[in-house]
Amino acid sequence: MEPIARSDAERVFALVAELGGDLRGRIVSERWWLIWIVMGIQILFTTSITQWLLWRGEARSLVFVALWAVHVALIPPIIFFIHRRGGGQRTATELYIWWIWTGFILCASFVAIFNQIAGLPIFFTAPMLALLAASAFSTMAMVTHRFFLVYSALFLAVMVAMTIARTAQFILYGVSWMVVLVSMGMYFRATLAASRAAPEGALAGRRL
Amino acid sequence: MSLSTSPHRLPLTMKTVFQDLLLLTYAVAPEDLAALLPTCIHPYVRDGRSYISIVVGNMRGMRPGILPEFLGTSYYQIVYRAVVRLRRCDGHEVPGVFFLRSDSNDPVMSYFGNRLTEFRFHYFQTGAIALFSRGADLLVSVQTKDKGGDLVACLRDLGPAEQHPPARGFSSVADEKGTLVQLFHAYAHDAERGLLYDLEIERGEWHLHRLALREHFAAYFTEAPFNLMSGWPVSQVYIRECSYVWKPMQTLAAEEFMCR
Repeated sequence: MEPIARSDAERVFALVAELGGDLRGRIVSERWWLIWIVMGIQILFTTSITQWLLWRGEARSLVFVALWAVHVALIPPIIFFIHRRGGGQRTATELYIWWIWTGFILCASFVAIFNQIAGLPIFFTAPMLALLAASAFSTMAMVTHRFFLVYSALFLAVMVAMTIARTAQFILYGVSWMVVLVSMGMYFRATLAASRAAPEGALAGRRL
Repeated sequence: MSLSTSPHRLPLTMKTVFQDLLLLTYAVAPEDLAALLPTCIHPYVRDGRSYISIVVGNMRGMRPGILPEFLGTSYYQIVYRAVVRLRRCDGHEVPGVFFLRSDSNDPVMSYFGNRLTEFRFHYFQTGAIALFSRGADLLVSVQTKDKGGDLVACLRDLGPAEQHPPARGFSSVADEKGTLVQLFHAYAHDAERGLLYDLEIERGEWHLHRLALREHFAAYFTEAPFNLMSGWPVSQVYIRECSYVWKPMQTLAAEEFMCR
């Protein structure tokens, strides 16, 4: 049994902060906040085109498949160009978040595929996209912060709205995503000053 | 559930499950501990020693008793609890604990903990608390705002406590457990109003594992109010999981008890 000095204890605190994954700090230092803002604009752009095509009476599934394939294909390069990987080991929480949203994208893709297999219009069950988002955010709430339950509730409401206002469902969906992602990005960006100012913050001084 | 013969049952109780609970007990001089306690709450003294336990645990699913666990909130909490006695005027002693300090890593719980009647005698501060385990090795790290509750401890789980000798100063593990663990009342004292408060708990059985303390730093027992000479570790145990119920706090008349 060895008593250790405060200086050694302080070193442990710094390591724990790094290992434990100060998610807020990483969101800022690794520029996730900017990725979210760009993705919020991107999804509004894609959903607006989708809605415009539907209003024009476009019924060819391949047109929509191509549009959304481009949308999904752009996500990795957006992350690649904007993201600044911080040092250290990826935390368990980060792994969960990657799993949640990769799963969401795959499931959302299957919504269209199943409609097609069932012989239905490709976006017949489009409100399910909002339901999947609600589910993803509720899981986020469990692994990160309970506040994400608010977004979960929001997307449940969006699902209802998309069911009622079918002629504007992709505008509703895209605007909701844009508001959520841009507000999240701006909020975390606003915490940047506090993160930098933290004298003992394990992530302070990282490239931004 | 064990214990509690109290007839008092108020409508709202709080429930949680303690998960990965560590009880790190230090011996201190009775007069040093007495200086930290209200006058009507007395240190428990045994062979010239009194005891303070650091209790670190993951509070899983803290919620009003009527709600299911998944609707509760989970957070880490660290409590510095002194083993104490209330002394009735007829000489009868009532065992319990007194919370000297309490920190959590959840600002919401700290906020409500500071305001709810049941918890108003807790001194909550929000700190960064982490507990890591790998195999039998445990690392506890607590970084508090005022640094007074900073704690780092590297421990090793040696297995069921019954398979090991008791901590020094105790005749058996049952004796150690009865003295340091089996305490079901938390007391506080409101000197201005002349009242004592009694918060009673019920909990599941604690299946103790003996821990070996390898390296440690506890600001409370290194810097202030104690130092390496006046507070020394005597017992370290681990409980994997245990359900807890906090019953609503009772008010006792201070004049029924002996004060210093």
